[in-house]
Amino acid sequence: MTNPNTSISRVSYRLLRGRPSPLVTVDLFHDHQQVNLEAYVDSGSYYSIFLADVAEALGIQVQAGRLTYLAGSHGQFFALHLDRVGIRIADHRFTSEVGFSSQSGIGFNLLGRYSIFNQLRFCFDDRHNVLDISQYHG
Amino acid sequence: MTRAKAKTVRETRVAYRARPVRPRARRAARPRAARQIAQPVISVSARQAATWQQSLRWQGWLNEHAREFEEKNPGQYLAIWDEQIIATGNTWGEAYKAATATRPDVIPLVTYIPRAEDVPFLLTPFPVEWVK
Repeated sequence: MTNPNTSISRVSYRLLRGRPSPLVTVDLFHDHQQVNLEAYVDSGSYYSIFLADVAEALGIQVQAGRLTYLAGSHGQFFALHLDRVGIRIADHRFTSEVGFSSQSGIGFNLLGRYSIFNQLRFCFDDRHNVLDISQYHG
Repeated sequence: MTRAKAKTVRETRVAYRARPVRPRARRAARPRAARQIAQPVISVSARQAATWQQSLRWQGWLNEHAREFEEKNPGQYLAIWDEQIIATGNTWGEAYKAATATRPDVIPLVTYIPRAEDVPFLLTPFPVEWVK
């Protein structure tokens, strides 16, 4: 049985058009490259989706990644290429398989469940507009 | 000069002139392209990254100025360092490249400023295999 780490990082929601929203600052690492960006923690999204530009900054060949297809809530399909990267959120570091796409049609980067939510535990506190993050070990 | 010493000098000269001479290797020309692209490269370890505490502070600063940025930069990406906008762009890559040109010594935080129509329509993507 795994227990969540006792170290909990608390992040205040960011205001997007006046709406408090769970955005976190994420560092991505790949091949001695690092980028720092904000990502929307989306528990409804299966995969994490980062913009293709992010892959380019990390030196990742997007087309070389494992290809999968996603369906959006409006029924549209788009290609997603999965690659393994290093991630740091607060003091939590781990590797994860995330997707890169230039076709998602949204400006935000999304942190989805696959390969992320099994390593980090997110507690959405919409009453106080804070997000608690802790890391599983073992 | 004694006769013996003169003979030694003569023999030395003859031996020197008869020495095997190695052909001088031509120096390979430096490729011009290599000189042209030689630019200072700052490795990622030399670039300063924001600490988590800095990131939290900058997020607070972004919240304080959210309305202002949403009016001035809707649909744009802002590259932030130390509570200052160091570059903007219409794409994430544009803002990142401009920020890297302005401040090559730091790793900026690049964030998106949503348009009015962005937020209610966030995708909730799921694998295509799950579609009926």
